Amino acid sequence: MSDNNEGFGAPGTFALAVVFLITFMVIYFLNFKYLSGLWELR
Amino acid sequence: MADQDFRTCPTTGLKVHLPAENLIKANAVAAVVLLLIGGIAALGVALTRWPAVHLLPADWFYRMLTLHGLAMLIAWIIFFEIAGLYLGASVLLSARLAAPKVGWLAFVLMVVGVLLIAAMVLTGQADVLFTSYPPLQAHPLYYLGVILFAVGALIGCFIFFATLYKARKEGTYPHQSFPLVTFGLACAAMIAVVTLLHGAAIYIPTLLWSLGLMGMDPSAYRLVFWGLGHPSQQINVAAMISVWYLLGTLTVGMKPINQKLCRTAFVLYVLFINVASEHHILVDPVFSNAHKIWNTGYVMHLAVLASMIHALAVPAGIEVALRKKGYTSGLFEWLKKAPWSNPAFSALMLSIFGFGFMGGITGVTFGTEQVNITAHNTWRITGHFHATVVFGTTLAFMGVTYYVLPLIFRREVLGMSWAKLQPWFFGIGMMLVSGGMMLAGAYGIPRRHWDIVNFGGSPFAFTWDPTVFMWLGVFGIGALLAAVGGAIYILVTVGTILFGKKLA
Ligand code: HEM
Ligand SMILES: [Cu+2]
Repeated sequence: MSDNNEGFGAPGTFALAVVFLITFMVIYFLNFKYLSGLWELR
Repeated sequence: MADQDFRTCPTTGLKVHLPAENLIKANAVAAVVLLLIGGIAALGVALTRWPAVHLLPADWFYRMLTLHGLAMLIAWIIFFEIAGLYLGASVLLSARLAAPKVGWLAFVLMVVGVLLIAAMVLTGQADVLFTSYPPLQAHPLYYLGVILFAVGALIGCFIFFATLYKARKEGTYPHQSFPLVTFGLACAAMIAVVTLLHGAAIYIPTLLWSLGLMGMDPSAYRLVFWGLGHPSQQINVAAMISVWYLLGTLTVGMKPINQKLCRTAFVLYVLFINVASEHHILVDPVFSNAHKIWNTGYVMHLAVLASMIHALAVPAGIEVALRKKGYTSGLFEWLKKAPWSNPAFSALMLSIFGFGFMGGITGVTFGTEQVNITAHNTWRITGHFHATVVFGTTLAFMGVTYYVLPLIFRREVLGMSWAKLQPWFFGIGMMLVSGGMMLAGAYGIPRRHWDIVNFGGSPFAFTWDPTVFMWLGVFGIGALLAAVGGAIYILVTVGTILFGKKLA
């Protein structure tokens, strides 16, 4: 954020952070999915 | 002030206090020696858990596992951190280290502690793993060794604070606030003081118990033990992140993009050190379910938030610095043209990746009460913490060593072409180790188990999904690669200290 007129100064890092968020969501979801398979509601 | 106690580093312009330099050297050398010992034990343990090899007999497996946990998580990391504290308070501020003699006392206490621990473990009198959960009991000298080591480390922290105070009072560091790296280390040291006091609260009663002087309730032990065990990992995180900022500055000239935010994030660690300790005892009946879900679903994220801020701020700072150098095309030119051939830089980037993507995501996930029941005591946990404390912290410490060697040991790094490969061997190896462990663990492979194929001849056989053996193979190959990376690190470091070209 070196220069306010240019917007966010690190767009590459921002893209990587989005990849991180998506990875996080996928892994978190898969873990709950796995748990739901072990603990079925009957 | 006697100036013959100082020398000026020609490259960095820092004034180096010579007694501090000697203490940094001693602690760093001790760290590397213990990394070697822990690494040999790692190989023994890893080659036993890889069913294709199954190297050690059961008793030596547990002995080596105990040695590995202690030599690595306690000795290598903490010796290195003490060296880092002295560097951050004295060298980075061009200040005089407070009470170097006391620093040597601390060092001797830590060495004696480690020797006692090692002697007890290697003679089979402390096969208790690094957690030493009762009713497992070790020889009293084992607990005494841990206590001596901790007292030494605590003294080291106080010397650090005293040095900061002196630097301010004597005006060697006249700026408004300490540099970010020193600030981060100060947070690590504050956490360390709390942690070590917790350590006393558990190890002193346990020592008395081993002497037969009092009883010990296993669940009370586990509750208090993790008041030590979890915060001690926050020390490692805070120290690692301080090293990230230092490496960013040294390798690409990065400036923190927002000092206030970064400092606030460090303070979050101090404030919320202990809230996440509960994730270690989620299967214990001590806390209620509601408490566990509230703690691990919500409160834990206060500490996680801090790591997220740093893991954004460091790469962003690097990107801004590299864009200033003209690598501005597209989203990722800066990343492609970054100084990858500098081992400190590749170690830094791999460390950020390993800690964030592998360690961080799995930590938050497995640390959630509901998921934890599927992960507890499986190899998923072991995979998670090898991503944080090995792929993350250990690799970052390895990276900064390539700057400590010329600055403090005043030697030119020997075998630079090997050093360039070192972070890649260690990083990719650790990726396979952590990934292999976590995936095998997802099929139920337990942690700390000597024989998952025949169960030591037990009549209760169990047949694994065959995929498990593929992941165990991935783990085994990763362990060999990481061992090569570790060996190169030790050879380069020791070779440089002994035979490297002397710098002026
Ligand atoms: C070449 C590098 C390394 C390899 C191949 C390796 C491998 C292993 C293996 C196979 C285990 C046994 C897991 C089990 O049976 O449950 C283990 C445990 C462990 N490792 Fe490592 N490791 C390495 C480096 C490190 C480092 C650098 C640290 C710390 C800074 C570390 C900390 C630990 C801890 C705390 C344990 C748990 C011990 C216990 O359960 O009591 N490891 N490691
Ligand atoms: Cu923890």
